[in-house]
Amino acid sequence: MLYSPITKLSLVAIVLVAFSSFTHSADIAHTLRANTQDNNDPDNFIEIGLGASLGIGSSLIDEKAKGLGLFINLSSSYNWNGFFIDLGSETAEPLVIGYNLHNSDKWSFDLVLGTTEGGVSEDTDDRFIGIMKRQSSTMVGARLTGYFGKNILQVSLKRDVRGISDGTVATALLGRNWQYRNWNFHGLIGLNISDSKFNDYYLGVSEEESVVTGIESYDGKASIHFSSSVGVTYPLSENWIYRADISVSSNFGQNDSTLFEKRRNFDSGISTSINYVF
Amino acid sequence: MKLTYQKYLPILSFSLCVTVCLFTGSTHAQGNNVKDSELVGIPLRCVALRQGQVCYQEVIIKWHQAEMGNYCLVELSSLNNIKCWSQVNTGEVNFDFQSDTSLTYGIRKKDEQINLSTITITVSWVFQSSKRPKASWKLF
Repeated sequence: MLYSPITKLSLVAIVLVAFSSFTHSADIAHTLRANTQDNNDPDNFIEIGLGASLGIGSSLIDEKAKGLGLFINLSSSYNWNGFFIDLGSETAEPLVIGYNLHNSDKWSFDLVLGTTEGGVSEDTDDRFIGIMKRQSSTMVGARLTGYFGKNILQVSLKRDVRGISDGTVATALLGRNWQYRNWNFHGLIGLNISDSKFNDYYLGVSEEESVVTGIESYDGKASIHFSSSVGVTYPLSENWIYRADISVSSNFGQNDSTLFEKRRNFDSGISTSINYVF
Repeated sequence: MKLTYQKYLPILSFSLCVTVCLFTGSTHAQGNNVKDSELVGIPLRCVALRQGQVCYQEVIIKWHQAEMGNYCLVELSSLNNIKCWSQVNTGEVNFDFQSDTSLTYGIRKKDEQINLSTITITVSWVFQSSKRPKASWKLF
């Protein structure tokens, strides 16, 4: 998976999912993992898996900042006549809907709509009693993907059109895959830029909230966030695949939020899973 | 979309191990009784992740004939001899199968064209490949 497994381990997931560099990487993540050559038609699939992960990173709750956990992996993609719907783990966004506007051997240009998960709420922890629940943002924008042999470059720009955060997020991802016998390796690095509105909505603490919760007030600032992942996929049969990933991502510019009880400059994790592909 | 179930860790770990063991065992459970057939392969299937990829598999092929003689195992699309034997009526060869398509092997008497028996190593895949149409702009 291309976002930190730490997201599976702690409640910081709610925030990290919204800020992940890979929240817009539905195609590139699966394309790299499945070793798609050049700009092939995207796969229609449903994938259900069971896995284990170990991670360490920042967290809204101290004791959830590192640990071992099991997870169930659900992801799917359906493509029809240029339209596509991506669900699940490949994107880190629960739902991405899009339309492929342009396509050539080297380039693909999509219009995309993605809904982030929400953020911190009173249900997150007793520390946050009285805090305003952060709603999910509806991010609409464009995504350009270039295919250069085994290298894939993807850039995207999205803005919240629901008026929740009014934030804007830009991403740039560069990935590559390799095959060694039946083992399919991939690597992916990315940069994510979030503007101050986006960060302030999800990570900021207002004066009013500070008075109620006792958490120090904080104004979110624009941030640049680095992510990286390497992984391997091995076909066990025509329907079963084995996956393993290691990921590291930075938290600079985000983990100084007073919402975090445990702050680390980097999130890192390792995960392994067995998945059934329909 | 990932759902965590830490409290089910022991049960799920056991299930994971069972699944791996079942798959490991299944690849070696096919067609290994040479007495019931003149030509058998273990395994008979090679699975790649993506259609069009070269699939790699260590394959054992065993054969048996009624008569003693000189025999060759031949890959029938290229007509390459995998191995030849002299004055035997049974043989076994272990080789590294590498192909992006299914290949058929035949046992033949040396320097003859008739296949006494054949076997196919099938290449299959998880994800099918299909090329997108050429460059186009479109709006619905």
